[in-house]
Amino acid sequence: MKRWMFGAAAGFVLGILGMAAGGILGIVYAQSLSIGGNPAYPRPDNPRSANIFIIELKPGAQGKDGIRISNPTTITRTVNLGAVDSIAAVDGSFSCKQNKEATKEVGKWIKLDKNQITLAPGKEEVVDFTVTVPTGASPGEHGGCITFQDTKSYAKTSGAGIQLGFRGAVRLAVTVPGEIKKELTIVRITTSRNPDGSYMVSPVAKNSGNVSLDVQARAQLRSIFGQKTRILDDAKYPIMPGATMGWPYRFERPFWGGFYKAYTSLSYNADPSSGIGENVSNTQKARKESGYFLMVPAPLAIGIYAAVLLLVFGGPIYWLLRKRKKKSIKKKWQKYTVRQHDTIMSIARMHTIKWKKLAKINKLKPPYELEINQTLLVPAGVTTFQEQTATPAMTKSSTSANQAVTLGEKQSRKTPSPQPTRVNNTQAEQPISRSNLSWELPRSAPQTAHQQPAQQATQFPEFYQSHQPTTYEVPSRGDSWTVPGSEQTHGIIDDPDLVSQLRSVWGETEQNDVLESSPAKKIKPKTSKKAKPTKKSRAKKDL
Amino acid sequence: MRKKISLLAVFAAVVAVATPSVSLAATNPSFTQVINAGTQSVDIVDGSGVSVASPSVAFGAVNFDFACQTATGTLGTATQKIAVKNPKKAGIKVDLNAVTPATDKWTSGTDNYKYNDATNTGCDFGQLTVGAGTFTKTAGGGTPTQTTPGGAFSSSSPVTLLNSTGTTAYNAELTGYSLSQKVPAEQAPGSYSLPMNITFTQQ
Repeated sequence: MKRWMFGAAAGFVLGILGMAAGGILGIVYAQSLSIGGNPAYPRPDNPRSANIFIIELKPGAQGKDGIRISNPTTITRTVNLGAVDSIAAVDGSFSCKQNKEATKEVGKWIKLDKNQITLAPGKEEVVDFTVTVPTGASPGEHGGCITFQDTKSYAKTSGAGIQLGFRGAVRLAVTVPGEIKKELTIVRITTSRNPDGSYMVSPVAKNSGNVSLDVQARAQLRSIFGQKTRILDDAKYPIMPGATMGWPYRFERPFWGGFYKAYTSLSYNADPSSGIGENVSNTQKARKESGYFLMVPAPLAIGIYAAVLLLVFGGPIYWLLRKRKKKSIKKKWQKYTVRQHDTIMSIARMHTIKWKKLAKINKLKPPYELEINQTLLVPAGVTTFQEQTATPAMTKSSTSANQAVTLGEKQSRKTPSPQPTRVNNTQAEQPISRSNLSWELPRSAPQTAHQQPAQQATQFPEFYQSHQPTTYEVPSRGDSWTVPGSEQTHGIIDDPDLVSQLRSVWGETEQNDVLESSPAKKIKPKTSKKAKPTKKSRAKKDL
Repeated sequence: MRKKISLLAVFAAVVAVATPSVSLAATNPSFTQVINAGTQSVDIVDGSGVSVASPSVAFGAVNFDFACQTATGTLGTATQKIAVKNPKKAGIKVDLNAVTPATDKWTSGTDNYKYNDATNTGCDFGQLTVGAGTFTKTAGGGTPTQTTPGGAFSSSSPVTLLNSTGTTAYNAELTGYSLSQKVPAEQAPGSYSLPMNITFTQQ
């Protein structure tokens, strides 16, 4: 009986042990990477005293406290301890001075029972210290730190670059009673845009009192139309006496952007009789708002804005500009009647405007056909030599007064070319102006061109001498020829005698092979000295 | 019969060991455990989370020049991350400063220049600037309220790497602090070093 009872009891105990083991193993402790330190004697009535030393002593008084150093690692550690003064970091927040810096205040008031301890793995030890406040200490809070550093965590003194060491510290606040002043003001609000498009809003506050303040900051953005973002608030950050410190808040960029104003408030315990971590009995708030600032919309929103603005303002502006332009044309342009051999290019050239503009204003469409006696609008008061002297505009001969005159580029070259004839015009016999002559070359020699009888070509000189063309240029052998605006190709100039004849008429050399980018593909006359007509040629031409 | 009872007891023990929670519910519902809050710590660890023995920050080399120039490096890389453990819901502060701020300088033999002199934007004697870093929570619930501001060294004041309030317990990594050191003109060539401390403070 006893045996089986013993067996059952043993099983039960084993089971309990198993449960305990399983339960404990199920917990993952937050293992520290290095030596840790905490206040050894926290006050039950002040949770804050579990993290920092809060000591209140009159001038000349002495107090005791202790720091618990723990070694959570798996190897034995030797730890150096020290007491230092506090210092404001470059951003105004609380920091501890280095151990090698001279102590003047709290660091000097503290005497540690031990300056070095050795801890086995998983062990901890309390090191007590004494705080002696000098008799001349001013009322208010005096800051310092108890530091601890593993002897293996010191920075190396050799090598290149920054050699890093590590140490831990626990803040120590010694308050000397007397006239305690708690005062906090927001000196400014800074706003800035982050590279990712979000915005930082930072109320910057100054602690003008003589004790530290645990400050809870809040921030909110409100648009010009009253839209509000969610309130961002923080847990309490300490701000040291006399320090200026900012609390940066990150706000996401609103999709539609807009003008926003930042509202910030800082709350703190303003009761002079309550110390750090004690119940808040008199919460004060410092408030400040920024001016309006622009929050840039998201790229998609910018696109939408642009499209809407274009629709709202672009349409009427376009309409107004168009109306003004029409009015201007109506006022400054005059009518021009198309004559025989006129082309859109020749008319444009006469009035020194681009042919495309002329076509646009007169609403001419490809192939830009003009009809004799058709009325066009042209700039008033702008005429060239051609218009003044070459009134008998060079047009292609036609049997009908209404035969279409088109530009060479658009024309069909399959149509048999009519014979160029003289226009029945009183001014047609006026002498040809050499400077206005040029050949027009088709893009390629059409097949029909070869079918043209050579003798037709022999008629050119007479034709061109008796008509005033727009701009023709001396031909080369092998060129086909056509009349500007004509749909016909008149033939290939393959007769050397004809070329010579033409050259002698115009006194030109064979240098005309520059194509102009125009619907007529005309070749501009060369202006070289060689191309200038001689006295002899001019005389012949005048004939 | 006794044998059977003994076997049954052993079987029960095995079951209890294998399924402790079931046994706990059945046998003793009032277990108490003490979980210590632990201590805050900061260390530099490699990609596997192992402490780096002698952490350092290397700077890009610069050549001798008659003009002021800038050497750059990064504190908190993939192989040397600043690991922060804050198991307590306490505010924690991480700073960077020279070991002896009043006298420490970048030193190479007898040559040296400063890390904390802002004269002429640091170009006259040398100044080290720390850019803002990145806080990445690796464990813990909630969103810790924190800032990683960085700043330029001036006089003896440290630069803040992390300022966190005590709203939540967490583990985190700090990375990507860009360091830029103004090197004065005509600084003698050499391999310069500067010892610095990272201090974590409960506040």
